[in-house]
Amino acid sequence: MDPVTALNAALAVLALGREIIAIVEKTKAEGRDMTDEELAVVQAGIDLKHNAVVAGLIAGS
Amino acid sequence: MLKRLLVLGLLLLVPAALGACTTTTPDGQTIETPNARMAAVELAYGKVLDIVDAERKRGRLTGARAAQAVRLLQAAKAALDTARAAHKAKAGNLVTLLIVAEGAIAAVAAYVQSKETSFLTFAATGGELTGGAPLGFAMKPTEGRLTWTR
Repeated sequence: MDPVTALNAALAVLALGREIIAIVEKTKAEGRDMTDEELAVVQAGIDLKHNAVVAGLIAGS
Repeated sequence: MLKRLLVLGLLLLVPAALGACTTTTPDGQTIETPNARMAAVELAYGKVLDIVDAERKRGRLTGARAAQAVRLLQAAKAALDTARAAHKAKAGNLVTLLIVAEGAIAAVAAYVQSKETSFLTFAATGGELTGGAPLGFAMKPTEGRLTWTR
């Protein structure tokens, strides 16, 4: 993976992470359910994190 | 090296806050809608990913245990994906599938915090999960079978 692609991927993850924190805090503060769109963003974050954790296990074993 | 840095970056950047909340109203009442149920299990999975990553960083997940953890994570993710599909299709068996996903998630948390290498041995003889996994439910080996408590 070239450095530019890696940097872009890291920046995308950072943006997604911020978005998820905002969603979790907002829905909690408002005491409401997540919308379908908000849930989809959280699911995307979970997918990303799953892949990262599995990659970490494989790289370290 | 670059790949390792990227993986490390991903783990640092995807927030631990994913697993840090429940779906409740400000006065503490649980919201019981399909989206709320789905979100709660998603966040529990985020939490178990944090637990697995913490155990790996402590050096407790290497070799065969790391390989077993990967298999368990993939099984839990498959259960989660099945529940997601049911949620998307507004299927009537969503709650059942979410319970299955919860069980698979709890199994990962319990295994990675045990000292066993074999998951089957752990499932048959392992001790009850005693802490460090605030998932809202826990896996408890009982008479050779895994059950979970809320």
